[in-house]
Amino acid sequence: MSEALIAAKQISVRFGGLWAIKDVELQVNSGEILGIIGPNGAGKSTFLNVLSGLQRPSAGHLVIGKEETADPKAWRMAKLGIARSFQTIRLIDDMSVLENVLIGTHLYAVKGFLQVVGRSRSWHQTERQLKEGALETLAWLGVGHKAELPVSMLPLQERRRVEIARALMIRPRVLLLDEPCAGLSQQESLALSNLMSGIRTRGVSIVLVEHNVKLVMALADRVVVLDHGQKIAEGTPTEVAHNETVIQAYLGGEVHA
Amino acid sequence: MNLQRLKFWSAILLGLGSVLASLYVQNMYLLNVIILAVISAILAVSVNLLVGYTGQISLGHAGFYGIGAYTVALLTTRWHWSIWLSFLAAFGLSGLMGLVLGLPTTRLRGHFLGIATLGFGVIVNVVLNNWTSLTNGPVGVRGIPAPALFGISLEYKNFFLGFALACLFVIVLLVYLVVNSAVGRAWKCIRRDEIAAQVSGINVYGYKLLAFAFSGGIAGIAGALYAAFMTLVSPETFDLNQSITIVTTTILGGAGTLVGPLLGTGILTLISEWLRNFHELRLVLYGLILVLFIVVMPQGIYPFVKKHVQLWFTPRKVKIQRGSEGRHL
Amino acid sequence: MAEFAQTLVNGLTVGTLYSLVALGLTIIYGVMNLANFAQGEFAMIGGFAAFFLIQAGIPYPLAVVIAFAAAGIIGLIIHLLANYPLRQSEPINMMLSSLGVSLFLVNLAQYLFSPTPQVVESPLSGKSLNFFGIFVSQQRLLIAFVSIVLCVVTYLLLEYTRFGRAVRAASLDPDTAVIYGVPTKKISFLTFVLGVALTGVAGALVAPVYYVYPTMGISLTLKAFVVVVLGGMGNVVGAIAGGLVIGLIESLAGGYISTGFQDAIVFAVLFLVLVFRPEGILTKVQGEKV
Ligand SMILES: Nc1ncnc2c1ncn2[C@@H]1O[C@H](COP(=O)(O)OP(=O)(O)OP(=O)(O)O)[C@@H](O)[C@H]1O
Ligand SMILES: [Mg+2]
Repeated sequence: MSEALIAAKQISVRFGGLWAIKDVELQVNSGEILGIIGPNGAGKSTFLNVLSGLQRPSAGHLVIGKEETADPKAWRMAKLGIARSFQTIRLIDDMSVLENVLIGTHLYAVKGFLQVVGRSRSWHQTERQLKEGALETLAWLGVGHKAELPVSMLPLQERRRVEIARALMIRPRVLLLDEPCAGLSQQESLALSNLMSGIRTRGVSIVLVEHNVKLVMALADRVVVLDHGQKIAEGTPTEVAHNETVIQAYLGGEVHA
Repeated sequence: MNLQRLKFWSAILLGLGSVLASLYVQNMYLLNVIILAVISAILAVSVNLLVGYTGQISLGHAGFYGIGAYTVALLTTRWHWSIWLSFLAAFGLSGLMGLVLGLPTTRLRGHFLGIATLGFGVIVNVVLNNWTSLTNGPVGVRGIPAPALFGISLEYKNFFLGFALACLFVIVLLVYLVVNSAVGRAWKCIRRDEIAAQVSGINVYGYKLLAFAFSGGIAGIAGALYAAFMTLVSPETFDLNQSITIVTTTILGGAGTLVGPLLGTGILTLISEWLRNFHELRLVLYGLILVLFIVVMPQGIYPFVKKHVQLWFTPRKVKIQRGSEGRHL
Repeated sequence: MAEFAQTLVNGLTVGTLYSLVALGLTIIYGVMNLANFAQGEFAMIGGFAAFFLIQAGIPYPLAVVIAFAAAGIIGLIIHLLANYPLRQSEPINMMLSSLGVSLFLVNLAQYLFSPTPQVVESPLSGKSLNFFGIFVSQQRLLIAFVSIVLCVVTYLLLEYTRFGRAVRAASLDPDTAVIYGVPTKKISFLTFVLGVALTGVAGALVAPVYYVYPTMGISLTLKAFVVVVLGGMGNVVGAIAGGLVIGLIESLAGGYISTGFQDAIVFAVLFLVLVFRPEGILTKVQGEKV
């Protein structure tokens, strides 16, 4: 078994009287695509929020590499190499595509007061490199030609890509994607899933939350099924597809059909 | 890219030019008005860092202004510090106060932050009024020495104007350099979407504190200039009205732009001077005009003008194209 | 002991007044998302209305009623000119516009009525009751009584009428409220008028105790804001309770620490609350759905 990048230990999240996540134990390995599926309200987004430090777990903790934390801070998690996209895209509409993506370079930018104010050589150099890197990533994701446009002018699938580009700029080891294919056509979904394979090939693990079960089954190395906040199954796509509990609770006849 | 450079250097030239030109202004009334306007502009630039770039409302900026002014007033008259050292202290102390105010309040949002910062302003004002043993209470502090620069006394108002303008331009330049860097990107992102900022590795709390400290420090410099110019300070200058004027100026001019606060100060100064002709009705009309401006151009004067000038110069065809594109999305 | 009790009683009577002003402020905030910095100016309007009406020989109770109407009518005009056009833009703009309105009203009053404080005579002026050695002026009792009645009436109005349901719907979630057929435009207009009219009554009530002058509303606005933040923005019961708390704190601070620092202490308390109990009054940061 390969090295664990993130380990979630007995994570629970409670909203008032509702356990959105209950005792979930899960591990993200290096170089894999881990699919998380489950019906609406199963707690998938909430779980990604925990992994990315946006939601403090009510119980349990995370282990990231050597660090262990029960109260993760989002920006610290980014620093530890965990990047993400959102179910409802969080880009800044009236900024250009490039400006949005540059936000993701924050960790690597020169920020020392004297260097910024003195516009030192290393400042210039770093800014240029970061910009080139951003443009390269955008081009690789197929939106290079729109770099100067305001984000609001882009169609949905391209905005999804821009958000992924921004996430990639933090040079993550794990990329959390929350329903990246929601609202996309079949063709667009396919193109995006090819991109995800490509990202994995570049050495970034992916945690993929997706309603499109077929797509997940085709893409993921492992699949975890959440239902009512609990992990009800885990395994390879084939194992999960044949798991009785899963079929009853969620899939119905869908996969067999 | 080249256009950017051209703009940058012409702004620098404009700055230098106006500093030089100011040395030849002789009319006392004009000098008074312009120097106070320059100080207001520094305040507007300062609050713009918070309101415009970082999206944090401050309704207590007169507090920093007052702290800066009193730092200079007290250090020079009581402890006989040199004026320049006291300027530095004003910057440092106001910046520190910004940090201190930011520590508890940066977790607040919107109107809560507004009221909390307003409270800060009120508290500073009350302290200036009532800590009589230190601040001399409502009477204020007199006899602040005029600074001298390269052996030239800034007692001469035209020299003081030159100096104040130079301060303004240095501050605007600093703000420009910082805002157009990763720090500025982080601030702008925080203003629009804190969650997006966090997951991009931006320490939102830290950057808000930085904005508070930087903004407080700059307002402190404005206070220092005010003290040195007036040679006397009293609490009534640093009241709620002042705080509100500072924010209003910035937002009216166009928050989140470099030019907006400067333009806002210019226009409001002109209006306010013109309204002197109306004597007692002056502030009545001022209030009216304020409401009018906000209702007509809520996004601020500078963005409003910019948009219309751009539309003016855009060929009709492109306009239609753009329009349809907008609808499509 | 008697002195302490006296301070408490004074604090509570002033507190009811703050509750009343804060009540208006908080329903306006709830429905319109407007931090109305001109709120206190309507107390000034109510106060001057009472002053002129009494001079004209109108009996005090009627003057109070007319003050309510006058504040409401001026509120209506201001809503149409300064709030309504900004309903679509960022909340901060409407707030700035209310600052402009405040400046306008205060200075107009100074121009028209001069800055000198005016004495308003009410039938209860100068009379006071003695409860076991604690003196309470009858006018203060009247303030407390009318404020409490108005707070209760407003609460019942919000809780048990169609209008109230619409107001609550509009303040919880304006977008959804529109979908369910709540006429949010009309509701926000009515709320604003009601909110400022209540403050107009407050002005007419305090006039005989504190005089009437153009800038009288400013400190009232600030106090009301502190109350509203303490009680939770848009929270009616919180505003009423918060008013009493602030009245008490202020009175105790004035009595036992220093009248000069009174305002600073009120705001310092606000600060402490914001720092140590942000969860009670903070907009939910964690709760934001991502
Ligand atoms: N901030 C919150 N406060 C209260 N309840 C919440 C919050 N966020 C989520 N929930 C609840 O927690 C449960 C899990 O929500 P979550 O968004 O994680 O589900 P999901 O699996 O992502 O669903 P979907 O497929 O619709 O995206 C739901 O019942 C939701 O209503
Ligand atoms: Mg979800």
